[in-house]
Amino acid sequence: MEGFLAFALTVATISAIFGIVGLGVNAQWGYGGMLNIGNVAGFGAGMYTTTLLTVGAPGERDFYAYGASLPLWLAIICGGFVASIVAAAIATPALKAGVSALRLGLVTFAGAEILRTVLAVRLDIANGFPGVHGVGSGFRHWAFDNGGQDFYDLLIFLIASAVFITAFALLEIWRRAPFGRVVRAIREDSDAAAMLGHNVLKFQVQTFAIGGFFTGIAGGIYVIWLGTVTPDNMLPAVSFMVMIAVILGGSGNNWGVLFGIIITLGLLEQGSRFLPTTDDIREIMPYLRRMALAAALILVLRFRPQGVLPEQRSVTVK
Amino acid sequence: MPEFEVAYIVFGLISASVIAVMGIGLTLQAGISRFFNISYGELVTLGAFSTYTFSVTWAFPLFLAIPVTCVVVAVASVGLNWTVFRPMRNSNAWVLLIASLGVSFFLSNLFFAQWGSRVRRLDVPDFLSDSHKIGDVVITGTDMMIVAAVIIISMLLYLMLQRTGVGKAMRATADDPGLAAVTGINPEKVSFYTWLLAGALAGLGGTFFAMTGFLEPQMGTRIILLIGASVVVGGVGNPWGALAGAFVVGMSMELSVMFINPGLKLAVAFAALVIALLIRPQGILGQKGFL
Amino acid sequence: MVKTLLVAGVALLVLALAAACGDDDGGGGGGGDIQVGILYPFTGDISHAGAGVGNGVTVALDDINGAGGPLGRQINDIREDTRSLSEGAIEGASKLINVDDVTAMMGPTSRTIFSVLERIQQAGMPHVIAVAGSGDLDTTLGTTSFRNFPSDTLVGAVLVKTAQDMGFTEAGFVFDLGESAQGVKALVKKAWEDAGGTTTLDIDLAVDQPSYSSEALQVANESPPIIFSQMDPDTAAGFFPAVEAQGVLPDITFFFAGGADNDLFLEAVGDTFDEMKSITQRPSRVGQGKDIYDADFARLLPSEESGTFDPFARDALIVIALAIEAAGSTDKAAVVAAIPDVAGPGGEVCLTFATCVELIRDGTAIDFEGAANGMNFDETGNVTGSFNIVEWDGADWAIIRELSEDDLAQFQAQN
Repeated sequence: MEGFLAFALTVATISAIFGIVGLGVNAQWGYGGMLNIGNVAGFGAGMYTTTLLTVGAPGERDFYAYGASLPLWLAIICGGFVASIVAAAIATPALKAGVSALRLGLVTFAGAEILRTVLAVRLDIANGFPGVHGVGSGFRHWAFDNGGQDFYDLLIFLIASAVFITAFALLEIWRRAPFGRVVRAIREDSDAAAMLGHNVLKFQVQTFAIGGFFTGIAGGIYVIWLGTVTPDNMLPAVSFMVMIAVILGGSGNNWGVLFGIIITLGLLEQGSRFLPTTDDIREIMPYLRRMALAAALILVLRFRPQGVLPEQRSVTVK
Repeated sequence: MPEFEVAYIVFGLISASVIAVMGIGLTLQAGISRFFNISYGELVTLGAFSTYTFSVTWAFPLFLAIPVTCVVVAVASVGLNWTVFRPMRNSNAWVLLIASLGVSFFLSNLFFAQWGSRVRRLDVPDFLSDSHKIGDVVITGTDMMIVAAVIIISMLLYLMLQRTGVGKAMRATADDPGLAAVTGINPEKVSFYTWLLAGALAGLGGTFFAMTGFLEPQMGTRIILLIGASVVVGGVGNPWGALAGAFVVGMSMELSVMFINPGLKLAVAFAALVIALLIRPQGILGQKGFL
Repeated sequence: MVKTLLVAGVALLVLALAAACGDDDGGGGGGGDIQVGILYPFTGDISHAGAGVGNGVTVALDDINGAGGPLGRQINDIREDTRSLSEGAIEGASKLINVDDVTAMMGPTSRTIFSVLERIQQAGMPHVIAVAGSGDLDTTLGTTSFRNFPSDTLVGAVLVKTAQDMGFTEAGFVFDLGESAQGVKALVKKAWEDAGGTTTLDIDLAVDQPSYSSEALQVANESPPIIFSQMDPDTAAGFFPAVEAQGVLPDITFFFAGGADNDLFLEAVGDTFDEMKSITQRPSRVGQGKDIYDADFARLLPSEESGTFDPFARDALIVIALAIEAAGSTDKAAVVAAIPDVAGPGGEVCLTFATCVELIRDGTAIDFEGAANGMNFDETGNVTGSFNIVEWDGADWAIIRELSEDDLAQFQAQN
């Protein structure tokens, strides 16, 4: 059972990190009604910023131009700010043009793909496709020496969950504050909000930046845990995974995000790893697992289309 | 840096044509069903493999296998709608989009389990695979056939939408489903014919896609990004918009090769899409306030 | 309420399955089957790599378990999926290490190896990375990990030296935009330019495109005498016929870094391949091992084609099984120590598990030679060996020159 706990800890750490991304996306999509299918842009910006700020000067086999050797915590926070700028920079022109949610989704998706491709083909930014390795190795080896892999995983889990809880609390406060109420009002009817004198674009861009900040912080923690960054960490599949979790859990409800992540990344994804197998189907088992997962996803959406924990709409006084 | 050549425009047109066949199907279906169906890519894959099965495995002539494939995929498309999407039609567009992503996962892995990772090729008759030199441009018979097919499909579609009862009902429902229902149009019937037509076009498009290159179980999952992007930029629900969107995507991809590393082709296509959307937020031929 | 119950039911069902199977699979230390973890991208955008590995594993298991298995126990392969993503790789590695308590592991590929390498090394796991060319693995394998796939650094040196020896000074580069091709491209290009070669064409091929005509036109316009290249079969299936249509195919010699010397690639490119001048590298000393493997493959997987990855996966699993037999137990440290012993060099050469295991039981030192290469590891855990340069003659690959280990070491030292 001890072994199972160590595995559960790994899964919990991944869930906490992607949970932070989910909270950021929920601020943008759940509250703001702004679809961010390219949420991996902010996540990746956080990963790459943290990497280039923590690694040392390039070695003989490296192609990247610069490494700043900053402390990890500072690099992660910088990653958050860069991510927030990247996310807002991608979305702002589209928000200004007033595109629909689906088109904003496409614009963000395109932005993330452009960023990923450029990082992949330009060796001089961060080694291109092969990526940069050994990120945060000092911290990791300190942890390995003082308690091994499980201790290291536990530390990262505690950091990630502390950030998750902080992000959760901040976003709850923000949701209830006047700012959050205006953002939701814009989601429901942006024309009406504009008539009330709110600067719709400003609120939307700020929401995007706030969401982007959290996805960037998550990226920073993730890259240190992995110890490596490649452009493949920014594949569209990662964005989709987060969007599925948010919509399945319940858009607009932070508890829903938590449940969505636990259900998709935890129960369904890992549960499918434990499906029974026999020799006849062993070779196609990985595909059957994905099919079982997809079927479960469709069933949940079929019977809970509003998400497992839908948004609690404020009661209107009649 | 390579100099300008007419060939790049011709290649852009060919790429656009391949995308357009599938784009028209996707946009018609999205216009009627009011959601964006990602699993359409798997119907494309099914089309390619169906043509392969009929023409290579069972040795039908290619030009008999293609219509049979269109029927097979059309039926599969309607079946997909009945089993998964119709029961969920009261959900919002985002839930349906994620559900279609789930269907896409399910089917692409089913195809992988069935057909494995082997890369297959269709046996194309010589008159299609031979290359011809027209002016300075070298293209194959397949390329010419695909461009011709898009022109014919567009004309037939125009006639159908303008002249036939079903076509008029489709246009009315895409414009305003509520109003269409009030005027006595049966939404179930319209939906049935739309999914049927979309499926047939997916079958044809998948076959064309396979003829220009190869078949593998993820081909549809991969091309759906380009198809979807061209549809959204063109204006969801409008088949002429899908043509325009495909034109933007195809041209920007092939013309960009003159200026930058072709590895960035897709990034350029996406950048062109973003610019198109910033100029016309509702899509090139789209209606305001729809998807 | 009914709906909520249904959802809860689905979730509980999955959870119950998880618990039930978790108990069944647990523990590899007893007298039952020996668990070996196979961690690869079986699904996702590079699933063809996982599929190839799966085929190789199937062939190896037929040999291993057919001969009674190491220590008279069957090998049970636990295939975990990375989903072509880092997160999937970590989850899979953690499950194999902690829950399944596997005796040894294989995988994953260059894309995700660095996310899990330290985790696997921390567990002291006997680990053979079958299919990862990344040059960054040259010095990071540590003491428990081995790699039987040639490093991109080595392949780069082989190709560039061959091109130089053949008198070429101008070259083009055409690689697809995937991590394996781009990883090797960076090193080939560096070696080429360090050695004084000039580059007249450098294009990357975006994958999943409807057409490659524009790229083919650029190749035709430049027409460099040789093109260094590597791409997946699907990209090749689109690209080379497009170059053929431009009519320049016979004027160019393609130097493939890897991935071309297999049936999957040949089938994907089709008849066009016979029109091309293609040169690639192949580890020497693979003759008989490859023949045995091809026969096994055809017998066990009649509907599949052998690709780049499957022979390496087969060799890796057999070496693991032999090491377990030679170690006499499933103790991880003992198995790690036995891997270089059974891989050789030194000892009697043998080509299959069935023949090798008999020799071990007789107390003979062995040198397992694989289907893909000679399977000898140096002190960094990387595979060593000499190379043949082979050219496609329309029906088969013919050896046109040979490069010894010394030749390569000398070349690498010079540049």
